[in-house]
Amino acid sequence: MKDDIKEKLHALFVEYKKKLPDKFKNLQEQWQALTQQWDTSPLKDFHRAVHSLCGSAGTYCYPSISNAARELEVYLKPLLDNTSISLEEQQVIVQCLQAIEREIHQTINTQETFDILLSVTQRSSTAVYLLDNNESLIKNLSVILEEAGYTLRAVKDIKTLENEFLKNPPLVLIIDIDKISAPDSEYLVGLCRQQKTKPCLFCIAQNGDILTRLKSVRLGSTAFFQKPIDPLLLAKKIEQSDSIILLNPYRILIVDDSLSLAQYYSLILKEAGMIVQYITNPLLLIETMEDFQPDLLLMDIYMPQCSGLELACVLRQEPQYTSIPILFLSTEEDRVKQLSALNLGGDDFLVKPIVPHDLVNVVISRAKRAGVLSSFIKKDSLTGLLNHTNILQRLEIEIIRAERNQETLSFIMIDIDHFKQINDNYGHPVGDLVIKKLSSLLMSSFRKTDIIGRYGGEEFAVILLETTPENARKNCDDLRIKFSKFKFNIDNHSFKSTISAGIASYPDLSDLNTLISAADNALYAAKHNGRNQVINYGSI
Amino acid sequence: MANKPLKTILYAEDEADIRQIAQIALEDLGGFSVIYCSNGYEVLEAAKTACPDLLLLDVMMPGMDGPTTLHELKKYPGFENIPVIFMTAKIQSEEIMHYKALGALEVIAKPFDPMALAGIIQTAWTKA
Repeated sequence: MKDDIKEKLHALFVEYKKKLPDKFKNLQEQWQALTQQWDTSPLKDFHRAVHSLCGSAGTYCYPSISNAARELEVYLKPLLDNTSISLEEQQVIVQCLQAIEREIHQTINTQETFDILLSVTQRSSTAVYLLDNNESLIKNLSVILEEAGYTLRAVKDIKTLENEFLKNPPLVLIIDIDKISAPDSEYLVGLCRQQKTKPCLFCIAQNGDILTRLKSVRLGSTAFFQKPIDPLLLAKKIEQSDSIILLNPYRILIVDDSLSLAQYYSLILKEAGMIVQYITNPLLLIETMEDFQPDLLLMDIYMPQCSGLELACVLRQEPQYTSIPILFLSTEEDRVKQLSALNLGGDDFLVKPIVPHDLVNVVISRAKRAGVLSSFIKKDSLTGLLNHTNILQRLEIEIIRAERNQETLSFIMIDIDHFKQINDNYGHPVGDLVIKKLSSLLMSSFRKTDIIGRYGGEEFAVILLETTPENARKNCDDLRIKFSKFKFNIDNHSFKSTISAGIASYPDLSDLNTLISAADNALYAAKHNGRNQVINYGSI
Repeated sequence: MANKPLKTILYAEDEADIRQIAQIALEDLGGFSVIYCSNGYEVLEAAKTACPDLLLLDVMMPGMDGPTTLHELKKYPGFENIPVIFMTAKIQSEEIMHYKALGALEVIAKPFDPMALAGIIQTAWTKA
């Protein structure tokens, strides 16, 4: 049954859409009767029908119909006890009805997708709301945020904020907790909580003492800033709040012997934007881990072949899996047993039945924390790309996977030409800038599934999955051209830089060391031939 | 109410379309068992035989509105302290304070997100 939720919802939505013309017809008939004979009782029924349409259209994701009905509802309210109606009032009501009819007509003639099921992950907004009147903060912050692709809306009072909020819920809401009353702040927090994509709450305050910080945390804030506020720091935090799921979807492995439950959890997590794989045979765990490289493991405790606890012990004995978060799923409510499960290497315990919202939240919070920690270990601090050790580890894994799936794979080594000269002429900070530019270009030029690392110094490595040598060369050459056109402006000078690259591919070359040295040789050939070019090992 | 699991909800909503979507949200997604009523009188009738853990009431219903239904229901034995969550389209901060003063665990804005409804209710229940 649970696997069909999506279809069931979809069917309901389709059904509701079909009923819209009848709903309107009913409204119109009620209104016609009223114009013939005005009476407060049928007026109340009419008001109720308008209210119903407003509520149901909103629930079924037709906000424009709901808003049009809301206008009429609000207009009717003060008239409810009137024993007569003026011609002018009648005209307004007719206009409101026409507006509703227009919206319904438009809805019926558009083929929309019912995006409600994706609501958890949709980036609905790039707006950042700031409830404050500090002019200099507003000015500085809006410039910085605009560069990063966000828009800042500064609002001075809670009423305006409320209106803006309902029209367009923000990505982040920033409030000054010194200036807002307790009921107002609680109201705003409630408003945030009920959004499909919950906005992040940031608090700012004059004092950074523990009581103020506690107040901020109790409101559910994700960040706290003490005045004077560094707009750069604030902007960085906003970017972090935005990028959690969208840029780097978490990879979740589910181990549950019940196929329907595994599929159900998988559906929920996928809808929250994660990449999910499930296995129902726990004995396949190790090879699936190697293959799928999950960020987090969701595991049932009681399974026929072995228990989740035993599996956790097995994993924890492997050095590469000592830090992966393991969440147990179970009907076990005994806290002592739960704690002993945590002793055996689990990180948390979720008691079935699990509310989807909670599952998503727990998984995200665990995966996020683990991700921050492992990024310190795995990533290069300057560029955020994988470091030398990890890119090689990934290459080894990907070769095994390509072999098993009979796929191609290309490995590229890239080097910035004459990098020493850049450092000598402009200084190391400028050299760092060039490295950062190339790394951001690498990230934007290749697919999300490709693996990019800083091999060392000015050298980079890229693993292109399912890519033939010819396609790899073409993609890499596009990157080379893009980079060579970029102008670095330093004070009054400007300069351009170029790269050389060497490519080697699987299955032409089939083991790790041969592949690396072939790519290295091709890179050497590119340098030798005059730089600013890409060479395939096969064509040396 | 963290010690007691939330199982049965008595839910009143006059709009059938909304009840249908809430059914998926509460039963399929939330795993709760739900008794449905389409107005306040039905709630009072259902209370004679049912023992819900929680009331989920639409504020604006024909005949008897949500707050009045709660007021009447509290006169019934066993319902003196029944936890309640209100659902309303006209959500203002004063209104929330008013319903919270009536003892509401939470006030949910309509239209609600079917994917999030069960989560909001469960969180309100656990926190109370």
